[in-house]
Amino acid sequence: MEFPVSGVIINPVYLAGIGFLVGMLGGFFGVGGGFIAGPLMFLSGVPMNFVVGTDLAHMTGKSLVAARRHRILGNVDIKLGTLMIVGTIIGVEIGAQLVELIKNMGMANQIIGWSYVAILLVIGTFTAIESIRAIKMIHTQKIDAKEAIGFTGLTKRVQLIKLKPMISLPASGIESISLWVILFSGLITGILAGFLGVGGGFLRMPLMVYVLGVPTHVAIGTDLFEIVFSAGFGTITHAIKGNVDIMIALFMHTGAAIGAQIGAVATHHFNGPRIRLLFSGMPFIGAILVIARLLSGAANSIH
Amino acid sequence: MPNSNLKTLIIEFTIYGVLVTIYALAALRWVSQPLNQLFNTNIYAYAFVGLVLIIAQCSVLERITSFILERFDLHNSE
Repeated sequence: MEFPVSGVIINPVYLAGIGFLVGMLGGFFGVGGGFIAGPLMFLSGVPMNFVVGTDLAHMTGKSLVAARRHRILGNVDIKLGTLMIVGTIIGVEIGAQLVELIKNMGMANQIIGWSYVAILLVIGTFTAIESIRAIKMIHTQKIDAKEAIGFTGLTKRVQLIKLKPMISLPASGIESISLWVILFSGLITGILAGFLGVGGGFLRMPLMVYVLGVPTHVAIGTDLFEIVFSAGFGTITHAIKGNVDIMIALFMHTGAAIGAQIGAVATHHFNGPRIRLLFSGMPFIGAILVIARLLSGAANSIH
Repeated sequence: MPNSNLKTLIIEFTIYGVLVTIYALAALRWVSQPLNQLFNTNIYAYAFVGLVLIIAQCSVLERITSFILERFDLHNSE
């Protein structure tokens, strides 16, 4: 089928298939899945500028479905999500300014690309080690899976910060936490997302779990809630620049709609540490895809 | 998931596939040309209509997929 806006001919079933795959990943892990959908769209011949914008449009719809499903399951902390959006928006702008700064220095794509790889490998390795420790704790110490975190030092230290105003997050089971900590967390993920040119779900989910102490299921739902707004905003700005083929996004979403629902429901068949262990594979896949593109000389397409 | 549920899931997916194919052939093909025209004439309207379309499709398909999943009691198996 021809998609006149982007000028490509693609089988719609292939697009629905990509949507189904990233929909499942998104519903299960709370990530946008752009790091997988992007290369798959690019492989099918979609120009890179349309890949970025169209993926954001598809992500908006897919995340809305998954976030609503997670909300029904009680996995969305709206208060936390809303506060983090504020920090994220400011952070994305700072990250984008950093990119401009590096562009002027030259080698921007290589610097951004290898930074991306390093961050993905650190997150993947850390999450894998932590989740394996947590799974062992469940068996050896007979503790509840919800409480099993293999690395709690940072969470405890963060919750000791008493910088006013202090707020409570009942949906996440957090009695008291500084507002500034949440805004700062959003800011950091925003800077990284803006700098790397990604949605940032793979950064926010582990950050909410390990730094803020949010339960894994709630971190997934809340992350999706935030993606709806960030991807929606990104869709508008990219569409105005002529980077969105909405027909491709609509076809992808037909597969993503069912995939996201299945992914969201599947989270209730796995405990937190097991979800985190499975999640740890995602950054490695992302890192391999980025390395392949860097080595193939297609570094321009990273951003 | 018991085998009977898996069988039901496959049947429901087939129904969903047929519905989506009809929808894609009828509705999506129909909006393709007007969207292309809008893209070339008024990019701001295209951006707005695009977001509305994706949200509208998302809401409709969510209801269909929820109905499908509830049909074989997946939501309640949590």
